[in-house]
Amino acid sequence: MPKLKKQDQSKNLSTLSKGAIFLAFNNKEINYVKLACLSASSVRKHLNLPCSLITDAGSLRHFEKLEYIRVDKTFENIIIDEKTDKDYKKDHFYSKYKIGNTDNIRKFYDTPYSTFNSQFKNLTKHNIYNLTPYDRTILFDVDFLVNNAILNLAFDVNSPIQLYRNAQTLKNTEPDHPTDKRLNDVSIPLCWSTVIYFNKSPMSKMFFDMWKHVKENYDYYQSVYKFPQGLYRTDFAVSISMHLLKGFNDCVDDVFAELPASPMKYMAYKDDIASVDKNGIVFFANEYGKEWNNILTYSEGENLHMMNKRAIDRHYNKLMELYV
Amino acid sequence: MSRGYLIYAIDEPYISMANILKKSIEYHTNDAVTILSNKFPDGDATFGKKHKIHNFWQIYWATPYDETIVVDADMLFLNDYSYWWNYLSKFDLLFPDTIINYKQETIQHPQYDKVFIENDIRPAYEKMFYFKKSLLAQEFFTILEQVIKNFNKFSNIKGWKNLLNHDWISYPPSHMATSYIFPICIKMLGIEDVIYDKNDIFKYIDMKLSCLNTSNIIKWDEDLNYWGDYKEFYIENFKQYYPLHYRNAEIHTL
Repeated sequence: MPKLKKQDQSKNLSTLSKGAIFLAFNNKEINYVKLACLSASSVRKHLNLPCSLITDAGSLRHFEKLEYIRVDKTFENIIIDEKTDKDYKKDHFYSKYKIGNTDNIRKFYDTPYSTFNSQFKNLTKHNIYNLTPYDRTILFDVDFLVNNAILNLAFDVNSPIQLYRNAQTLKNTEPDHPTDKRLNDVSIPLCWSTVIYFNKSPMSKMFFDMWKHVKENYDYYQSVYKFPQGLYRTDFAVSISMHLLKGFNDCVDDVFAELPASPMKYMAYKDDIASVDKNGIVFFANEYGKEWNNILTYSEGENLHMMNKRAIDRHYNKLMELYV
Repeated sequence: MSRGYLIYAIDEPYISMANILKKSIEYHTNDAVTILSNKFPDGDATFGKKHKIHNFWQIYWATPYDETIVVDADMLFLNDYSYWWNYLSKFDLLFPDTIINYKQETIQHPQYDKVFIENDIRPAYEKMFYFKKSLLAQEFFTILEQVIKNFNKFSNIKGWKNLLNHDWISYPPSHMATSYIFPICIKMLGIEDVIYDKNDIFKYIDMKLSCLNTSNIIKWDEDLNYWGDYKEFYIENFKQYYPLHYRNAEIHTL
């Protein structure tokens, strides 16, 4: 095959489609489609990217019934992942993490003072490579809010996979919880699957195939990498996949780059939103280990991973006003 | 200019370890390796001593090479590092500026030796170092001879305070070890600015427990998973690239 000239390459790059994609599967506790609408609005405002939603028919009906709005106003494409429910039921893996009749239960905090259990439907996240309609995609978790345009730089970086390897709390400190830094203190560093840039390339395919392999052999990799048993965390699966593909090394390379504007700032489950004004968000940042202690912090123009989903719900309309 | 590795090893188990290290160097490189366990130019001063480093200063005169990389016996070469030679030949005496643990985390000086750092002496990371037959290296080994021969003068509080030139209470090194005497010699000569590899090319992996950034490990060879041999070696599924200082661990796969 003749080599492309540099000029042709850049021309070629500009014709490749790009967009953002979100996965949302509702459950009894969390309306993920509603969160996806907020996150997609922030992406459209600051990154000006077309957005696609991957969901199932039940979640879509549930959302439209509750919210009286149509998701196709926010998303260009709505992809119904028909396989999801069947996959979940067939997957031998899920029966291991069953509580009662519900699968893969996660305990969620809503501030330190309230908790709830909810199903965590994340087993098919690796399938995003096959489902995305774009040549170059940024996968966003629905609890990620984009508040500046810096992630657009990811499309100019010549790395097939880009994600966050570093995170910081609302107080600009490193993560409090040990498993938000490493899978275990003797093990590999944690990479976040919250936001992932990928293109349609053999290397990207290999990464998502490896992710699938790690998921299918999760127990084995749990014993090798010594992460906590129980919940299937895609962050762990992604971290292990990268480590395996890098030849068992923790090194910097051109294939797996860090997303622009690292570290990723996050609002932890025990943090809360105090108020939302026209430019930014005032938070109660809870102190790790001293649950009675909250510090007011303010964030404006920073991308945010908002882990406390109930807090988003409480301030949903105000947050949405930031992105209209 | 002749080049080669020199392993200082007196008595067992160090001679066995040195032989494994020699095998690992010869597997990965074509470089010459010498194990120095007897035939010291100034005689053997280690007889009846617990810590057998009394002949260490004689390395300069005992090495058969013009350029030498000295390596501790309880190390393992895991790759071909021949590219170091051309870089190292620009220096007369060179120690790693930083070293890493098996997770590829850079070891901070206070993790390695808190007491020395409190006394304003940084660790020398002398488990692997380079020297060329030169004035600076000869000067270093000459002062090393004096420190080894007069170690009792440093290992009491008065001598220690004189060396450090301060009055506050600090504890002198309890026993003769290279990790104590090398930093002392470097401090006495005032050569800290020129003998550390600021480019961070020359380095090794150290399994010192205080440097592993983890708790609940008493013996790394029992508490961490490892597999492989000198061809390739993994600890907790991290493939080790640089020379591994395994610190007397019993690695049964070697």
